[in-house]
Amino acid sequence: MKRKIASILLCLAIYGLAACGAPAGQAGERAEGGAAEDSIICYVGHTFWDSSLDPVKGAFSYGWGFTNNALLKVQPDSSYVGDLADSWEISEDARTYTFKLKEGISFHDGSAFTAEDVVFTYETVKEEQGNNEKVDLSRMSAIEAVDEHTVRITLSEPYSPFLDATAALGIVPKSSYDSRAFDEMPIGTGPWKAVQYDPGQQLIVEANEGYYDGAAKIRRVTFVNMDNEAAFSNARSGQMDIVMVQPAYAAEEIKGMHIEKLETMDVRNISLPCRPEQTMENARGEAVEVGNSATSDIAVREALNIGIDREQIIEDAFNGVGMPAYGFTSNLEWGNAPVMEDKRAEEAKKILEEAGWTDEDGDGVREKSGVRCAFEVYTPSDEKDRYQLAVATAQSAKELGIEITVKETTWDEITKASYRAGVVWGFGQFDPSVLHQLFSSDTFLTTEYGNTAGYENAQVDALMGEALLTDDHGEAVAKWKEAQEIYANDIPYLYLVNIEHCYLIKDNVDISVETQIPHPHGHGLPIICNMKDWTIR
Amino acid sequence: MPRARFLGKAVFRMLTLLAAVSVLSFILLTLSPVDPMTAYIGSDSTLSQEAREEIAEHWGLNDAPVKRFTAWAGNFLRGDWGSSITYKKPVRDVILERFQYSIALIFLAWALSGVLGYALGMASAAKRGTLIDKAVKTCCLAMQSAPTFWVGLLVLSLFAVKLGWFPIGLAAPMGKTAAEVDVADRIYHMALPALTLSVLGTGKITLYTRQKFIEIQSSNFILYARARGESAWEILLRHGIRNTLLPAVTLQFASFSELFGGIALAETVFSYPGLGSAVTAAGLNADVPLLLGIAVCSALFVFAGNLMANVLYIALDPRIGEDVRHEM
Repeated sequence: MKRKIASILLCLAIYGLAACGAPAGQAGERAEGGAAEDSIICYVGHTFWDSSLDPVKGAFSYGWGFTNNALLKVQPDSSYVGDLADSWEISEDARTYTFKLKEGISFHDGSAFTAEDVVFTYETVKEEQGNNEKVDLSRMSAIEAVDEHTVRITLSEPYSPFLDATAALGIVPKSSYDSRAFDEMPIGTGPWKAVQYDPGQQLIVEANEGYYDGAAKIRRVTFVNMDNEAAFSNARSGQMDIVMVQPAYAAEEIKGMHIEKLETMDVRNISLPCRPEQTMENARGEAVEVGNSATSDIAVREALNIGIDREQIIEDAFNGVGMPAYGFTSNLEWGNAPVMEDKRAEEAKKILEEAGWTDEDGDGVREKSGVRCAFEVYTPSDEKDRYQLAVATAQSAKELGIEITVKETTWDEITKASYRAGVVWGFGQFDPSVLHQLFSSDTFLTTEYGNTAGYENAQVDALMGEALLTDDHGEAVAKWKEAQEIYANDIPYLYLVNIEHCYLIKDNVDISVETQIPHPHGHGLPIICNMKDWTIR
Repeated sequence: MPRARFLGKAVFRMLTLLAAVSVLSFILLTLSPVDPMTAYIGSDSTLSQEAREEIAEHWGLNDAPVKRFTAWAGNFLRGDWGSSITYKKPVRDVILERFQYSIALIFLAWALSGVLGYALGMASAAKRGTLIDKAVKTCCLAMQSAPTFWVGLLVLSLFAVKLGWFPIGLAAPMGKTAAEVDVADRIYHMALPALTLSVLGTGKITLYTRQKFIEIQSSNFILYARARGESAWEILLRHGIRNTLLPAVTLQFASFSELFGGIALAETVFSYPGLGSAVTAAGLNADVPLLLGIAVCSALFVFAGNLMANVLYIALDPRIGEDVRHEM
């Protein structure tokens, strides 16, 4: 009898052991992570995990150097300076860009950086444009090496935002470029060398000791891929040095770490269809339902813009993380948001009443000749934060007597509805051509996600056209700013919030906040823009 | 000769299965409301129309569905699996890389659930009606009905977060290069996902084995054995194992499909970089070649499992071999 019981107990014990016991003995000595003296472990979201690290295929096209450097780079005030280029000149017809390159720079493999490498990189991207969805070289007609340290690029038409592309495309060495190998181990001139990349798992980089602008102080950085919750748990157990967190966690306290909220240029807005309801034809000849009876009335758009309470919306949607936005942010060289105050509900109600929107039937929603002051707002179902923002905005608009119904669906469905309903958009990039995309009458019904509000203003069109064609950067910036001033009166987009990126950071790690550049749209990754300047105290 | 016919039949069945799987997956993918272009360039892209055209051309996004499928099928038969738009790599590379992780996980979970399930089932049948039997039965029913991701979260929060015995995710220690990672590291990181995955199969095999052994215990030859004075332990060793092992093994091989279904969830919970995350990414990005590649590979794998079960049946039990031979 004893033997039988013993055998059964043994069976159960095996289960228990296999389940938890056996490797547990090693757990103590196998405790992993945590900052070694000169290395750190970070979680910065999912941005690069699915794809290649090769700049030719669009990797790290954010305007700052990582494994590779581009010709130009973005500065903390969002203006451009030379990175691999020493200086540049734009011809008077705005079609020829001549870059003088810096001398004495070498790639990770020791070979010297020359004009040939630039030509090779640009030509390869141009040939394989389908493989690079980030850097658009379709307007480049020719590139040549004038001498060993000078490159000349010719465009097929004047296009001032081309400069942004030159800050986005990292240069690869002509002599050792290998499409397959560069997916995981790109060779560049940048401050970091990839030493190990397990897609979907981790990326380990080490400082390039020979970096032309001074080597990084931290020797080794590991980026891990996991979901937000797992990363947060890892932070809690002390294994991580930097963890991107959602705003909902901004109030959490973890011993030995503090929260850092970093400035972005990412603004969230809701498009407000400007045209009356009708059916139109898009570029492919398909019938599209366009316009909305409520939002096509400027009074409704105006009332929303001044009447809603953005601070309360941010409190409700993002736990108070983020800043009220009225246009593209001032941390962009070309950004120009109107200075104004919101939360003027009484004034907003007056505007609505004067325009004939009154609540006759007492259901809390205004009407005007039988039309309810109501519209739908769409959000992508995989982005909770946009949904929360839309719901909070709907709550605020309700107080004005305007009804917003929030719908969550796929981008495919959103695209179809975007011309007759509002959509929560997120935009934030250095490239001002986004203005053209959003406000030009040319992009309405021709470019997906372009000017879905159906906004049309000849003056704005003309200003943006001039901005695109000029050879003078200063003039372009001035024109972009003027265009924003004009469309701000017409409110085709309801700006809501300039989001902030939140990170948990170990108390002994200094991420050099003063040299951070404002973060572009993109979840979490931009914090590493100045990783070279980080220190461990 | 019968062997050749058996083999021919199996190959024919496999080919029709693969064709059906790839056609069905493709139809599902074309019906899904995902726009591959948006998934690729993002909703905030300022790419020019020309660049968008080139992208569509490069990845064949504008072609009619039938043309896309026949092009893929033609290339596939010639050994070219196409390129994944999600990973910007040849599909074959992506699958090979991911398969290694998933296969290791599946085999560990498979072995774990087989051994534990069988042992528990035998123990519980031998002690039928006792507290142990009831406990095992309840556990198994609970395990059978618990969703994998939920079990995963539970296991994760207990063993990794609360107790800190195991890593919270990934397949290798953070910050270690491939050269520094040893087998112990791999197993240590695989333990929790494998345990979670094994829960799926353990309950079934336990209950099945228990039932089988109870049946056998009430048969005449056991009565005879008892009459001869054999102890319960001897009966279990001499008759029990011999008569229950075969059905258990078959059932275990047939459970490959369930394990395959479970890895996507288990891998997501544990941030484990196997096929599961690749299949999710492929679906969300409408990545046709990758999704079809994975579908075909998975079907092949499951088919192999079932085939092995059939072959083992014949090999282990001569009686069934006789039947098969007669049929053929």
